[in-house]
Amino acid sequence: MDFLDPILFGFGVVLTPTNLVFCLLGVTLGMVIGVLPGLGPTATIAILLPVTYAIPSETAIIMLAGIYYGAQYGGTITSVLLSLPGEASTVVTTFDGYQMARTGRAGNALGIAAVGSFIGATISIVAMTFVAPVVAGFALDFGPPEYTALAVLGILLVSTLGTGAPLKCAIAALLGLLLATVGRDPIVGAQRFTFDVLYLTDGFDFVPIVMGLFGLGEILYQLGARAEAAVATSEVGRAWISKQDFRQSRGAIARGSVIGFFLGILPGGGATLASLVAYGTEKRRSKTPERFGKGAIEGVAGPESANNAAATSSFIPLLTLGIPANSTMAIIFGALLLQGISPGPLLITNNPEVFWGVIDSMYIGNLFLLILSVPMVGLFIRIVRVRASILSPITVVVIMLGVYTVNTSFYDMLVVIGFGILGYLMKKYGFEPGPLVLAFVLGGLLETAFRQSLRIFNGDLLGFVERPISGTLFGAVVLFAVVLPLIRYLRKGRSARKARAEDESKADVGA
Amino acid sequence: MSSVPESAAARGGASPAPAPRQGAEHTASEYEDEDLGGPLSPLPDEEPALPRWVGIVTAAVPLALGIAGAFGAVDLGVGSISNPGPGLWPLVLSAAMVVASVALLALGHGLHGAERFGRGWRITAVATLSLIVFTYLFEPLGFEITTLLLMAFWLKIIGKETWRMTLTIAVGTTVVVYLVFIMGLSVNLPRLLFF
Repeated sequence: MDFLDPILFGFGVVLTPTNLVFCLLGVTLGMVIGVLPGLGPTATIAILLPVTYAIPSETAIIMLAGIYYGAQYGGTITSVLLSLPGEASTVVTTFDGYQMARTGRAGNALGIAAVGSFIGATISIVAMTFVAPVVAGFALDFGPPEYTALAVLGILLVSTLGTGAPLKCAIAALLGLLLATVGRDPIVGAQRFTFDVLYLTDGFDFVPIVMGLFGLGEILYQLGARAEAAVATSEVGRAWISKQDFRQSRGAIARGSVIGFFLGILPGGGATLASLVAYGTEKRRSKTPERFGKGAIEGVAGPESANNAAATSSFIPLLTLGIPANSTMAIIFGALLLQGISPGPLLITNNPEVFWGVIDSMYIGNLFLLILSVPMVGLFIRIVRVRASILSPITVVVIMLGVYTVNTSFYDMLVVIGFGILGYLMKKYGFEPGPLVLAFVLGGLLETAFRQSLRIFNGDLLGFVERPISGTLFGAVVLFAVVLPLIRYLRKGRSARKARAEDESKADVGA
Repeated sequence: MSSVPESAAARGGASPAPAPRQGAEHTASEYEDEDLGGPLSPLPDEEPALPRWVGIVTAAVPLALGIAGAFGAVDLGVGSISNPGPGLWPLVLSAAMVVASVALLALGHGLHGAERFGRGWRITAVATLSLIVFTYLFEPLGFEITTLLLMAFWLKIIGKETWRMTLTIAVGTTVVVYLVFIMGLSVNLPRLLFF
């Protein structure tokens, strides 16, 4: 069969010794940082950007992807054992996972989480293998107006579906777009907002901005807020799975995988939202919802399958449309650009080794992770004990030296510090750095597409609405930017009155 | 050890450091109890609400940025809508920024997600300052000494680690950096030892 050829070709890419080593390196690193509360996969990927210069592009992306989905496995461990979610996407796992651990069933919780994660990810990869080329083919017809709409929609969804206050996210995103305008105008070549500073002639570099905002900013933030949690791990040598457990959570794993796959594709959705929705679904479907929050195994299996499925499928918009679905994907987008590859519908034909290599590496990577997280889980539990006071200086040195090596530039180090301070202040004042980075990455593309569209339409803005695809996408923009917030606003007023009347409702998923 | 000059510089400069708007959250007396807060001192549990003006400032900063951006954009030349100049796109963005900031102000959402600074900001300020000093010494002194000093400062002064731990980790990291960056990846780092 013809269409299996590219998939097999992808395995050929992954199964070279170098790529296998970097895949293993990536997933192991992902597990480690997933276990460590604090530094998340986004920060780690940002910090490792300079390394990607030294290795081939497909190898770099395979490693970075491994960090991302590996962290989903790792985050589970601390959620279950310590009720300390290593990642936002494993917060819901603490509800039932930690309760299971307290009643001596930690091994079962970790076991079902690992198996659920593996199944969720695998279902998602298989679906992606077939869906991604179709989406890419469909997107080949996209012109500047469609890309304008798509980029606007992507930024908007990341801002509104994220964890922060939507207006603040919008402001962060606009700041990112403005930062992207600094430097040479993409069409006319005029200097913009450079204030005659030589460093800014070509605009801000992606690497120091991301390393500053996500890496250094996070460390500075934690230095200030560090309240050392008492680390007392329950002793768990290994994870195991009983037939009984599996039978009980089969349905939850299947539903979680499907939920995760679809929510992962959605910009702004991603793993965190998927795990929340999966938990809610399991609780609602259950005949015995009162068990949830007290150690129901479905409450671990569903969300864990979902967050891994979502982590996988969030690569689809990046690899097929060139639109990153969340801030981690934005950094991987940037990493691809650094390698001279522009992700988009042409990626599959121009750089099949990247496209299929990355997708197929996930099959292998998840196998590695299953091995790492079932028999070797005891090893990772020990990592939790490394103190932040030791970890953060090491990370800082890696950031500072790493950014210097990119351009051998002293100014890049200053820019990292500057954006580190900005990232710290943004966090303190409730602004998410995620939308800023996503918008910064898409800024150049969006402006170019917007201005080309204006020329195509000869200045007629209605042109955006008259083309079917861009019209639909702009319809979605209006829906998310105007209609939904309005409904939410009106509903909040009503539910506030209602809540007072009928006291506590049952929908306390977040409790 | 050798972290003394750096730490002295950092402490001396701690007050004018970029740490923002500290006056709002604490009375001066709270700062006098001990030196840096230390990583082991958790933030107070019950935190009083942030004053309202913090929310107003939070919205005013992006508002000012939007207005400044709009003026800058007009200066660049907006062109026409069928033939956009370099300033058109920045103008659109600046206008959106102004609208979003005004909405933030009007809805009074400026404090959403904001946190008090607590006393943690001082550690952050000192840490930031140490990085700036590091950056300026990096090229003249080479990476070996500066990395060692930075590590020692963060481990001992900021992290309150023991001397033994400080020395082990600081020296260990510097050696690993040397092996990975110089020997492994043969990257250009300014250095003292050329061999």
